[in-house]
Amino acid sequence: MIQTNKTVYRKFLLILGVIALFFLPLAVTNPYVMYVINLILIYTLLALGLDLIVGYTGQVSVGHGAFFGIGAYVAAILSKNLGFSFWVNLPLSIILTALIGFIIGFIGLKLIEEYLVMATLAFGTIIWLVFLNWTDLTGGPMGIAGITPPPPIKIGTFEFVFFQYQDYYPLLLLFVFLGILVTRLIIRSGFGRACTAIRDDELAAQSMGIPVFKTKVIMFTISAAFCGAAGALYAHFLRVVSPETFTFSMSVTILTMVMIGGQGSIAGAVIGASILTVSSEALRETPELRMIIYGFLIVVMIMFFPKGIMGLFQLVKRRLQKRTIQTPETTPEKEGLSYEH
Amino acid sequence: MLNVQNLSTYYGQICALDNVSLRVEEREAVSVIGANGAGKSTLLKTIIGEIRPKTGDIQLSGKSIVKEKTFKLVSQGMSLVPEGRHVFPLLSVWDNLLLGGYTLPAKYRQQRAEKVTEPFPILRERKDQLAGLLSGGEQQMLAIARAMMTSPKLLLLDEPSMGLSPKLVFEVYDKITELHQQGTTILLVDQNAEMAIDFCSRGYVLMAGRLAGQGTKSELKESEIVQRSYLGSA
Repeated sequence: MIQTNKTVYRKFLLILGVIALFFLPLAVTNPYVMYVINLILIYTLLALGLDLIVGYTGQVSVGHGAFFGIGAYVAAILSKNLGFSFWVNLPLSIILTALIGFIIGFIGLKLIEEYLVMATLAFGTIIWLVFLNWTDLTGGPMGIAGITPPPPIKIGTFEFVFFQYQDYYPLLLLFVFLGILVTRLIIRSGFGRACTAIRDDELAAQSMGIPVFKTKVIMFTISAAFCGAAGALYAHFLRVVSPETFTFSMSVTILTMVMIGGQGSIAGAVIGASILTVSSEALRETPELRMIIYGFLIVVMIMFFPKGIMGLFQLVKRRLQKRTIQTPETTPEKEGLSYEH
Repeated sequence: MLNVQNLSTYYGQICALDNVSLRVEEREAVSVIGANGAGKSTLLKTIIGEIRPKTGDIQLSGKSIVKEKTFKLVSQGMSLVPEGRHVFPLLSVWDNLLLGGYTLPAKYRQQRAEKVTEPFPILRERKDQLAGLLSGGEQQMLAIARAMMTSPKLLLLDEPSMGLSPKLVFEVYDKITELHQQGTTILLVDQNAEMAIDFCSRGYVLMAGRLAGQGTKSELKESEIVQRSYLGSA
């Protein structure tokens, strides 16, 4: 009964927190701070997407910056050249990025891990060169400017506009919650468990009838779709896209977000995106230093905290719980933590 | 049920299996014994489609499966308990079992998990515990129960005694014998020749990738090569 009350109370607090988050622009009046918060939300969507393939399926990709770029450029080109609205561009960006993700996944996931990294690296570089050199379509180094913001939405007497950073924030927040919901649904489904099984032990997964390759390709496609959505949201948020955003360093940044936050954790993706976005802004003047720091952070995390900040948090939580539970009468053996081998 | 004909498997230029033929009849328990590196695990990996053979054929119930993918063989009635157990350490015992029933309709998985754990009461007791916290013997039992989730026609066991204390080896073999008595056809490979021969009705001896002998349980026990190489008597 106490437990049920506690759960209801927690859920109530969570809902209250979610609602409060939508009203954050009322408290944040500084447009730059609002801009950074919006970027955090876009990167959270990217980190969630990459985590599906890295954290839940165990396949490393360093090409997700390219998927992000494809989503952004598709939305930009459709908006600028064909005058399509955000609401048309968003699904088209998702579909096209997912399709390219499927093709890359289909080719790359046949390779073993190290070669998959190389393949996604090559893919990212090729896409960046396309953005840079296909001037007629992508605007070359100048990129594409003048992308229109999403058209206003009228609900009764209310009209939601998306012109200012503050206006765009609820839309981004909505998509992040949608992303979290989709991620939760996937990882709690049979398909999600199959992905986790592949991550943990591919041979065992295969011998239980899980179609390993097909499952990986589907997850890779979904992961790319997340980046496509983030790309379209990014293009209509900044209203300008240029190749320098979607370089190899973008892919590394997204991967660092996942590694620092904690692989295979939704909260980890949010934490990683928040830390990296804020630090990116802080190191804006010294981009070279930024990549050195990210590289160093990845090495430190792999060596000492392979499960990231969330893993560390879980470890501390478990230790504290154990300390509370463990009395002289309750030895580890009695708790079922140690058995004869 | 299983008919392996003239199977040769290579790792690059190295021949791991050379012209191996064997058969397993329905409801039979067949063992393959051999020293480390004899090709036992390669044989099982080739049968389940993880490694493609260079030559030869493998038939399950009369149908060639030599080009089938591993995951498809599960739906065709073959299940493998891999060497080293390969349980998912971060999933609970019960979740491991449910994953074993991946090819079954979701509504039957719980029911099937209840059924397969009947001979393994310890797994029921520890159903919510992480599989990584089980002892080696319990993990082996979990791996066997998980492989039984799909009600396989043929159960393949790779080194079920590996890394277990003698007491646990007996326990695991008791459970495998129980499953065989309930009607499961079993093909087992093990370095522990004594246990493997005691368990089987027929067996094969692999040496350096080649079949060095075969026969019934008593024939194997009396065979000079088995006596000399595996049972430790002259």
